[in-house]
Amino acid sequence: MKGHRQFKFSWTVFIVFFGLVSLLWAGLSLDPRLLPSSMISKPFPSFSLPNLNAQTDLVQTNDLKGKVGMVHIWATWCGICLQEHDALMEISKKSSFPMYGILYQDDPRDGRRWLQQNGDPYDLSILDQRGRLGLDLGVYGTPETFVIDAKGIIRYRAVGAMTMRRFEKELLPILTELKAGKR
Amino acid sequence: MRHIHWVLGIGLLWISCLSMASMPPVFERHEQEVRYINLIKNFRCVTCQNQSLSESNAPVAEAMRAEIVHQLKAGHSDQEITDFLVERYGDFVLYRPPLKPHTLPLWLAPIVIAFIALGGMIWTVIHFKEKWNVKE
Repeated sequence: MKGHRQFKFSWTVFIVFFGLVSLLWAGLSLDPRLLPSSMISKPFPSFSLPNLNAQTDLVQTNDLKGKVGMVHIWATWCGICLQEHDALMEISKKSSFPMYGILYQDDPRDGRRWLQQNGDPYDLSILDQRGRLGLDLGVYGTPETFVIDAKGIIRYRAVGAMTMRRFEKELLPILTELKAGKR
Repeated sequence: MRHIHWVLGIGLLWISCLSMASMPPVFERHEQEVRYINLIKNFRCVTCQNQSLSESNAPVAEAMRAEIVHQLKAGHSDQEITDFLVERYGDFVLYRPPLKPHTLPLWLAPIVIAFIALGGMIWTVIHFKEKWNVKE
């Protein structure tokens, strides 16, 4: 092969190779856990589940309506939930928005004991022992935090540990705008 | 160890993907059991995303399997159960990506790349044959 053609050939190979590498690299950088929530802009699923702190009382979807707030999915078997809990307590104290907790696929006694030991940031705690509400929400795992508006429509979903910084950056802007009626 | 909770959290999540599967459900009719086994092979565990529901022991997988059992016994069809999960989790929950316009690149890319590679190899051999002096 003459020098000129060999040069073009090498360049073609390099371009194809680097093209492939870039494509695969971009693919690796995507986090599959950050899939768009199919629940955004949909109403919070209808449910009727026991209040964690008074299991004979039933909490229903309408109990979450009326105020812009956050719904937090957690469990005692979830290590990250313990890690983030201090931040959750701080957020609950500092923010005026209600925070509802859903205990997911867990024993209610363990849940109550956990909250007693670590602090209870929730205005209301719901027991989802079978995990059906979690399923209806499209939950991948714990912890997850949803923002709901006064009509009970899901407006945002945050997957993974909640921190003060994430709250201020991701949740607070939406919560504030919803409350002001700007969304 | 300040970060023990991170270690525990990630460790627990990882272990939950690997541990032995829980007791299989009991069905009244054999046909339901066959459908169940088939269905759980075709859905992805969204926590341990390389595993199907039949392999994973993550809590979300348990919840999904329990729901499938519940719906099967309530008389729902395979399509209804599939639609139920896809509605909540998107196409991603199907273990085999469906053949839709937006998944065509996913299905065709490996074949196309294989052909390019094969073509490149053949071309290289043909054009460099003299230079390499391949002896018969």
